[in-house]
Amino acid sequence: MFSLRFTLVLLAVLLIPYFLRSKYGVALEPYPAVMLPSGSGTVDVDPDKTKVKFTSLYALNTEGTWSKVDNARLLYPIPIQYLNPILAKEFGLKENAGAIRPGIQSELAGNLSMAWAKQITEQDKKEARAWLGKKLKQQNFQESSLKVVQTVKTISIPDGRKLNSRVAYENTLRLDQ
Amino acid sequence: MKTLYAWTNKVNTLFWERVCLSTTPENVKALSAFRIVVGLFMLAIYVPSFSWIAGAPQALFTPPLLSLANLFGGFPAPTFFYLLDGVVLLSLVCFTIGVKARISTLVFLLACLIGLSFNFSFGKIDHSILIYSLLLCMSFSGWGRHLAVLPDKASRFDSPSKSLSLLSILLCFAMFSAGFEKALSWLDFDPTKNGFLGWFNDGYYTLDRHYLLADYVNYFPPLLLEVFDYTAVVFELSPLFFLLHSRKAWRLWLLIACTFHVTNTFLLNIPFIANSMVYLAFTDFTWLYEKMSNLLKRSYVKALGTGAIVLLLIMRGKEAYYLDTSAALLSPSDKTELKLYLGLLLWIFAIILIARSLLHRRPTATIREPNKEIVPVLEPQF
Repeated sequence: MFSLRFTLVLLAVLLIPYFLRSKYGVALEPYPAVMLPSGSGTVDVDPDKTKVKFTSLYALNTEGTWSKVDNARLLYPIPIQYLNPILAKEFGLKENAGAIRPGIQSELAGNLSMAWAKQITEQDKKEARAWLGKKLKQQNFQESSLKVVQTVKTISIPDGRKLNSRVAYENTLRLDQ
Repeated sequence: MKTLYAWTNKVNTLFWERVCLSTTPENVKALSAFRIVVGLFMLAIYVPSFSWIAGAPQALFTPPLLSLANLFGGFPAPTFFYLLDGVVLLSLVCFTIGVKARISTLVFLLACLIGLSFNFSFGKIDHSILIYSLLLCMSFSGWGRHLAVLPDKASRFDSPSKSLSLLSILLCFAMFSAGFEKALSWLDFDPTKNGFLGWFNDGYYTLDRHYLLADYVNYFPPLLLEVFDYTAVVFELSPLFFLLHSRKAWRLWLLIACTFHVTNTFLLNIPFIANSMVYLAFTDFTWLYEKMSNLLKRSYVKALGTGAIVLLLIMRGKEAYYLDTSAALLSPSDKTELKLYLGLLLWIFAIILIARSLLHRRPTATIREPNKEIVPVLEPQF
């Protein structure tokens, strides 16, 4: 069977990445590493209502009014599960987007993220704007702007009625500049 | 010091032999049939493609801090990804049909890990590592020695019992990595806070996961949600105990795992389909090996099999190299729904096979490896 030396090496290979993730946050999770997502956060439970925070995208339709964008079609072929981290840096158009990583929960992760931040040049931003414009056009929206809206909604359970809605953050990305 | 070393060594031997008891395959030849199952599964459903990354704007490049991709300043040129997809598809076909399966599995694994490092550079690591752990372990199991076009030669590196023992430990650790932090915050005996609902809200409200029974979660009383939290923690922290207890207990845990994934597919719309292959590695595919051995003697079956693999290869190649949405048969959301139904089918298939191997008692005499390649340790010996 496996020798003691092999077992010790295996333990190091498994435990070091796990230690990095649990001590310094998801931002310092190495890849590849044998780990599954923890997702250990909790939310408040109320038998009658729940509070949810989510980000939606809006664009101007042909009549000039803001309409909700189909996120999966907008991102395609980028998988939809990457929506949240991409929205966090607003498609790379946000200030210092190269340093924005999800799960920065420690000073070390924050410092490393700043030190190893990817330089997003004006050319990169121009490319991102053109890409977004093309994607919006495919959904028959105007190519000029995209609005990122973070909403906190209180929803009635179980009928899903909206009891309360508050815009926590809103930013309009100009794509024609 | 010497005594401590001797004691640690003894504990180490005891531990692995115990693991081996629970995981040693009944029939090494059956692993070759399993290789074909895994290959076809990947070719039909799960093979990753990377050419699409070349079309993504460079502004989206935010690789994980500790990954190979972080050594690069941006996404590499399209040619890199086209070549990578070529290597992935070619090596996958090679290991499926058994063209030097050991080396082709390792090439496939390496190409996937390089590609996935860039794939996860959009800011999130997907936790699909277990299927790649399976490939790494199985490439040293001797699964390329039978039912193969160009069989692997016998090697001192091949050990089915070691491969599956290592895989089981990787699976247990992966579950522990998911369960331990959950235990710290989910076992709070406070029905006003819930972890399961956190997963549900994220998927339901942000990622539009409204399929199957997801709508009904809104009707669940807080007490039931609390039970879900505790069940998840117990499930994720328990596999090592089952593994060390007995072969039967280990298979029982695998059966519970499949049921857990079916529940997740229905309620959270997270199918985690690749894990089904990892669990199936611990079941006996002798019946399939026997069927395949007989069928592959007939030339029309060989022709049909070749045709099916060529068709899958063309489909995957088209998907990898032609990304035009208008040419796609299904919209992205239709694909998500289809994956869920496929996931359910796979999980039900896995449940049937694992339940069969749990209930079916093979005579000890058949739990032997042919040709005496590696003698499984069935009883701890000192």
